[in-house]
Amino acid sequence: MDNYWMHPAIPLLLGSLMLPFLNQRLRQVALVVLPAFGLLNVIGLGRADGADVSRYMDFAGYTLDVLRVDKLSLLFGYLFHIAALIGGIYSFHVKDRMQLFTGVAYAGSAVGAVFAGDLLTLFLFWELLAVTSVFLVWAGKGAEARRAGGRYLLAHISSGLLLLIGTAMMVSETGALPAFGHMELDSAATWMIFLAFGIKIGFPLFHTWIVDSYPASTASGTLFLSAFTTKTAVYCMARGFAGEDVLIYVGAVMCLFPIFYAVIENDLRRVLSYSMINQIGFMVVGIGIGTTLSVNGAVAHAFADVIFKGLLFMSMGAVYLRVGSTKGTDLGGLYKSMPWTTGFCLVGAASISAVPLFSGFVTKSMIMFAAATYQPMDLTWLWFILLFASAGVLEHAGIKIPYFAFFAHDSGKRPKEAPLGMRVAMGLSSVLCILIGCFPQTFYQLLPGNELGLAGEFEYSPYTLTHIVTQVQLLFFAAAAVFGMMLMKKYPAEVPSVNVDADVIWRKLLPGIWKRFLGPVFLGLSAVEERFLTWVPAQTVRTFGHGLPRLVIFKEWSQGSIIVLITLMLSAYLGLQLFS
Amino acid sequence: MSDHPHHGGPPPGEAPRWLDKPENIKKLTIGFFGACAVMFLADIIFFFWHKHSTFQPAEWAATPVEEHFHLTGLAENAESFFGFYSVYGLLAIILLVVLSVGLRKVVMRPEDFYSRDYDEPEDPDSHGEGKHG
Repeated sequence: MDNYWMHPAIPLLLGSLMLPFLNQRLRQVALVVLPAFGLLNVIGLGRADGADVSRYMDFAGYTLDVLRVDKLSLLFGYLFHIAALIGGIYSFHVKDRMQLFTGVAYAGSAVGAVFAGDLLTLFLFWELLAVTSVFLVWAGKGAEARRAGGRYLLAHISSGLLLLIGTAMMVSETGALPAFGHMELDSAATWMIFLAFGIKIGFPLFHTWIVDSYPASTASGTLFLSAFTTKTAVYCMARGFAGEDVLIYVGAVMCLFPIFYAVIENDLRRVLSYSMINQIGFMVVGIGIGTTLSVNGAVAHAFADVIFKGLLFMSMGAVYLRVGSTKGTDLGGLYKSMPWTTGFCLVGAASISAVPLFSGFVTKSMIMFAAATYQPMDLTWLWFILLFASAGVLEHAGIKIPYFAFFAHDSGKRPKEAPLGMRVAMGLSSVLCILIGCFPQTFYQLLPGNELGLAGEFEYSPYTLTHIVTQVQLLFFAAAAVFGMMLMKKYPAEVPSVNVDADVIWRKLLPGIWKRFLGPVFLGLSAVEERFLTWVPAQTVRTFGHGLPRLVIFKEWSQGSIIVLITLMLSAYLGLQLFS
Repeated sequence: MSDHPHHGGPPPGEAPRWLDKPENIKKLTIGFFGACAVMFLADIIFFFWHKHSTFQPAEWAATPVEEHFHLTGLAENAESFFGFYSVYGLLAIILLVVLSVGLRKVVMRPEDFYSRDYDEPEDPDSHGEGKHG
């Protein structure tokens, strides 16, 4: 290929390094120029040869395939640059340089991950994703954001560890660095990689980092977080495990359980986090079905979701910036002073609800259609679940979010309209949602299509009379049920509360077991250790003078030191595997 | 923005908006439920046009479906039923809300359920303006 183009992660990754040194005006310029230049670079790469292009790099005795260009990686390359551009404009008002630096570096890591051609390259960017994005969680205010960030890092370091161990096991089996392609779930190694992707994609029980950390961040931080991590995992799952039946069942659960939590959740940004798991559920189902149409539908829906879910998060971010809260009980009637934000939020709501002419209508339906027409297996039950989940999406994201924030009972609050940068970013996203919805065939050109090498042809037209009429019927009557129940006072009111889900395992049950059972035993050993330590240093001091630091093992470890320990173990393992 | 309590209502002296007037809400409600009725009856058009089943790809419409694959009976019949999508959308939301209300009885906890495990004091503003905690 032409040497004219650079590796797509370079503009964002290197460019992010200069952000801390610029004043606000120049930062704003950089926040537009870096992703725009990166996007042009990716477009150039896509045109350079037309066919697959790879570029190799030597690292620790291995040849890394750092640049695999095909239609699947290009699609996510375009997407992440568009998301970074929108996120950059949305962040014009941000003065916190750490957030901007880590946000852009995070976007660059995601770009690097989707162009990775082998598992070690993927792992390196996988870790970079984790360590850059956690600063966005920590940018949120209060002790809760700090703790949520710690839990977030634990989840992602664990995911990285699984990916690394899986990769290392494959290296030791074959003696060569495995390329990142389709894998079968037939060995411990591939199961670990599957689980690593699963943690990042939000598999049930491992989904808690999403609903825990996203609402804890800032307005811009949440937007960046929502765009990259889970969608990188969707890409990896589509690349690695398309057609794995287990994904159909897991995806169905992901579609279903969050919509119940979304009905009763008070914090509207957490409602959107549950909504995100529900949408990823559709994608996971599509990947699990594994036909050309379903996997194209999954990645198309990922593309649309980054834009419309980002738009919804942006509107709630604007509310958070101006009001200081996104809890339903604190909001209401904001349309009177934030009309632009209200309008943009409604576009996002229509898109996620799959209203005809908006983006969700032309992407989600591919997955549902693929489920209905799947021949090797009867997926009728799945189709009914997806249809149920579609109605649920309208309830929580289509109606609840805009209704409780901007309409409902007038809270009396009259916050200022969102800053200009935020409005421009929301406007751009709104235009994209409508363009994708109105010109689906143009958008479908970007999809990998038949290039995926899966069963079936890629052919789909969303705008049939039947599809339009039936979808509008579904949405109208779902809305009628919501409004009807509100009129009859049967709809659950917003209540200041938290709702426990699998979080309770990680945050109550396991700590409880530690506190009641393991802790006393473990800490009891500290007496023995104390004795040993007071004896040993005394000996060494006598022999070597003051030398040995006191290492205490039997104590309550802080989250930080556990992360450091895991990272050290991980690096040691990596070193052993690579250099032995 | 904390100078207005939660159940504030519009600040005194502000002119009411179009949406503030109960008669307009009534108009909207009647209009919406009227539109629902029209959409329900829209299934009539499928007496005249062929309703493509989701379970039957459009490009296969020319030939009998059975030539392509064995149809799953329930879905094919249910989906072609008059007003299926309307009824399903309505029932889905009612079921969803009823089950969620039940779920709330099981999973709802006070706002400090997790944070009270920590000794350190919370930032006063990190919990928004909720009245509970």
